[in-house]
Amino acid sequence: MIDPLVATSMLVGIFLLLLVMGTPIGLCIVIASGATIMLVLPFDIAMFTTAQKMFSSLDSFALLAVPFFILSGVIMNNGGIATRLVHFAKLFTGRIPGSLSYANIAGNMMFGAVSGSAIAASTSIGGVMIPMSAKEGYNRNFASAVNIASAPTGMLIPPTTAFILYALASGGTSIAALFAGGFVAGSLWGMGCMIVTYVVAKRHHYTNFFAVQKGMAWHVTRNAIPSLLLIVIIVGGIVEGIFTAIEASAVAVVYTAYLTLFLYKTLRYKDVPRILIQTFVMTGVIMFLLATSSAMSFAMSMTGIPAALTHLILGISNNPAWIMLIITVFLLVVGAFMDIGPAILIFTPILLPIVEKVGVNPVHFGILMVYNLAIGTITPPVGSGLYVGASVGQVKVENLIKPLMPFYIAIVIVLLMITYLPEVTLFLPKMLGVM
Amino acid sequence: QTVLKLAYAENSRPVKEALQYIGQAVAQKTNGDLTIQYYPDSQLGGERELVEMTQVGAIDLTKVSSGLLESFSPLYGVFSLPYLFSSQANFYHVMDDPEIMNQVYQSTAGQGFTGVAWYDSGARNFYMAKSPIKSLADLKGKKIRVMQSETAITTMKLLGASPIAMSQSEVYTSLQQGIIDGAENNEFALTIARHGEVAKYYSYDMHTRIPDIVIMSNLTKNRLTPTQLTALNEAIKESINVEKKAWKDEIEKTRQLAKQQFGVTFFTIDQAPFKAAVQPIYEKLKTKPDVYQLYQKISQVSQ
Amino acid sequence: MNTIRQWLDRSIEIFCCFLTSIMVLVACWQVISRYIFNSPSTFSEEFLRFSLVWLSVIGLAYVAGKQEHISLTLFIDKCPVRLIAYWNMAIQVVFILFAAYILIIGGWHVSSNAMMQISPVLKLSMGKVYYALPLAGVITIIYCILNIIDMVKTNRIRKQKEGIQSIPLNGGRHD
Ligand code: NA
Ligand code: NA
Repeated sequence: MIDPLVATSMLVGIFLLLLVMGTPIGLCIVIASGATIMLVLPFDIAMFTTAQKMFSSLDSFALLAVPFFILSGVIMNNGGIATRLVHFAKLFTGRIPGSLSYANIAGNMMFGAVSGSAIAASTSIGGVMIPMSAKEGYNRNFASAVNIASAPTGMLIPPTTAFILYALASGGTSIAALFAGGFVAGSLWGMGCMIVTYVVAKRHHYTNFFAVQKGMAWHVTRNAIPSLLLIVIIVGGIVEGIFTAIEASAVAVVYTAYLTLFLYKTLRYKDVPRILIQTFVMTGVIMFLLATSSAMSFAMSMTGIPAALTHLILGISNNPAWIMLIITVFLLVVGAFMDIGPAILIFTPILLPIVEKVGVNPVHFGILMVYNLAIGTITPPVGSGLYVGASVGQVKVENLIKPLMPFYIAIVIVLLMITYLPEVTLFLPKMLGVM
Repeated sequence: QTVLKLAYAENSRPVKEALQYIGQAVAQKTNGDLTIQYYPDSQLGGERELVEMTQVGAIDLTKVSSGLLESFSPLYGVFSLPYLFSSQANFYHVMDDPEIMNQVYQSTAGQGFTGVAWYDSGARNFYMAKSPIKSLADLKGKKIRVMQSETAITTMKLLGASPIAMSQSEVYTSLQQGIIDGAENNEFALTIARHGEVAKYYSYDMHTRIPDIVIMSNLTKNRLTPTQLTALNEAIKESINVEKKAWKDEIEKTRQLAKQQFGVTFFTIDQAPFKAAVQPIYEKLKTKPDVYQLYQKISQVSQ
Repeated sequence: MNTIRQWLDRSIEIFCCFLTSIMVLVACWQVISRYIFNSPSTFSEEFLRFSLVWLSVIGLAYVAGKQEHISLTLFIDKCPVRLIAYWNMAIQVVFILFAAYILIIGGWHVSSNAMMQISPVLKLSMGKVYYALPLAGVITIIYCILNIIDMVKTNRIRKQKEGIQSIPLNGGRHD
């Protein structure tokens, strides 16, 4: 048996070296894994198992939801669903200070909910809202910060591929329960952002609002209802036992295709190949990470790394509160540097057994894991949400850090709340009877 | 000193105990010259991956369901046939018959591995979410989750149910949501997979007894000295009885646990109509002469 | 060279559009056949799983060709342009090695090992299902070679441009 320390140094060393040099992350993972496997298996067998792991990690019915939810998101993103939702959100945010920022947050939550993508939400909704806010006298940096801070709610509010990946990596945690709990966590995140907005908007007198004209309310609502119905169809179909959470992804594709091609007519048939190819590319990107992460977890198991790490963390403390704090800090650091998908796939098999030992429910931990890592998508140094958000708002990233600070604080307060009060998120899956 | 790698997927306690026994016994018999390194609980992958790793010698030993091995050798498919065995005693009698089992065990030798032992995995029975199966009529049109297997699908159709092949990890929520009406498995599904929380009616129709099989890589045999190999084979043989004994204890405990903690009701029902309904499957078996021959041999031994 | 790339892009794009559409339809059929007709389809689960593997690995090869796999460019961005150009070429070589050793050699080993293994429902030889791996390897290698050729060309053009610009600059200094 190889010393786990040697294996860990090799795995982490090669991975970080290649990563810093700008090598595609999937490639970093698979090379580091292949090399580590070679510590215990001969060269040809190491190649065999690496290839086999890549294949079998993709050979999974649950994973089908990834391309399907991506596809429905791309369809909506191209089909003008965002503007309809923004107009609808503005109905509720009427005459309060910072009303446009609320509309942006609510829009991100709704669009994130239907499309399943934080980036799609922040580009579509932010693209509409930030110029509008700037015109109404809002500070452009603040308007962009609002958009960026609330975009990750779409990673928590279902449907979301992050939970599907977690369910897979954790060995079959209920996706329906994760979705229900994620809904609560994502809503709390959004509310946190709204409270910050309230305070800032009041101080800066962002009292200009853009209310929907009288008599337009019905028109705006009627336009948004079919888009919002998607959530009803997905949740209703799952709860009623018509389809599983996985099959719901295919239903979402058919429904959004119907909306954009036939009902709204915002897409034409000739757009379809472009949309399918865009989905194909995004699927290829995610699946490369997923397949290689599976090779990495094999490399770790084969060399005894998870057991050694468990031993190490439980050696520091066996107080559940402390262990959760250590893991939270660890995940925030990981999230700062890594993308959410590979981070979930790599660290779930390592961390879950540790927290289960101290009595944390796998559904609860899944929600925490995604929440923690979602924060990383809007923090430097690596944060696609932050950079995309900055370019959507046409502002410099440096100028965003200050207005983002109060949002970070609110988001972390919510994080501590859902970490130490499990019932806050778990009551909903229990109430719906999916847990 | 030689270290063998033994990996397995999720399992019940009796199987884990038996596999642990192999390691202890072999170390004792060889005075620590041969030891076993364990990779439990799907750490290295699912059963199909583990068989493939055994084929190329990435691991030495694993334990998988004979249902899965049907993909590698059609002979293993015989154990998926409904009502092949009349009782547990008859099942043990056949499985302990070296003449029958050696033929099955050796049938995968060309693919890099052979069977070395079998473990009891109990009888598979129906368990339902809303109403119990008391007769064949209760099964009519019910959506039942089955394993990905042609035989299992055909069996369900012959019994009048609608078979749904889905992965084991989706069964719990599907039972709960009502996507399926029931499933079929041994009693451990109620407790280990916690299906007892959502399916409270368990009926003993005992349609199949599908054994687990321990397999060994061909490369492992070549790597061991004759003394080591003998010790290993002895330990593996002895582990069969360890498993049988542990199974008897554990299944009774599981039944009590399911009754008390999960509130499951158990029904003993008349199996004869079920047995009669599946007979056409044996007619169809004649199209696979190898398997049919094995089936006939098993029938002879059974009498 | 461009015609090879165009032809390959087009074939893969047609394949992906076709396969994705079929997968959506089959997944919906699975729901309909079970919920409406109460006679669940038995082939769909296995079909969808295998299709997903093929879609994914061909997808990762296609994305490698487009050089759109996620990477952390935070540190490398601070390096001189010429170094980045060479390192990008080196990454293509690393991709080729990955494709050759893991996807093609490893994948071929997995495939040939599983030729006798039959999938439970569709009765396909698993060895053939595993062909996805070496095929993705071959596609990746072709794309990476095309990428390297393109990079060499742009490098040469950039050098020529730098050369042209440096003449008047030097001339200026002489004055
Ligand atoms: Na979402
Ligand atoms: Na970050």
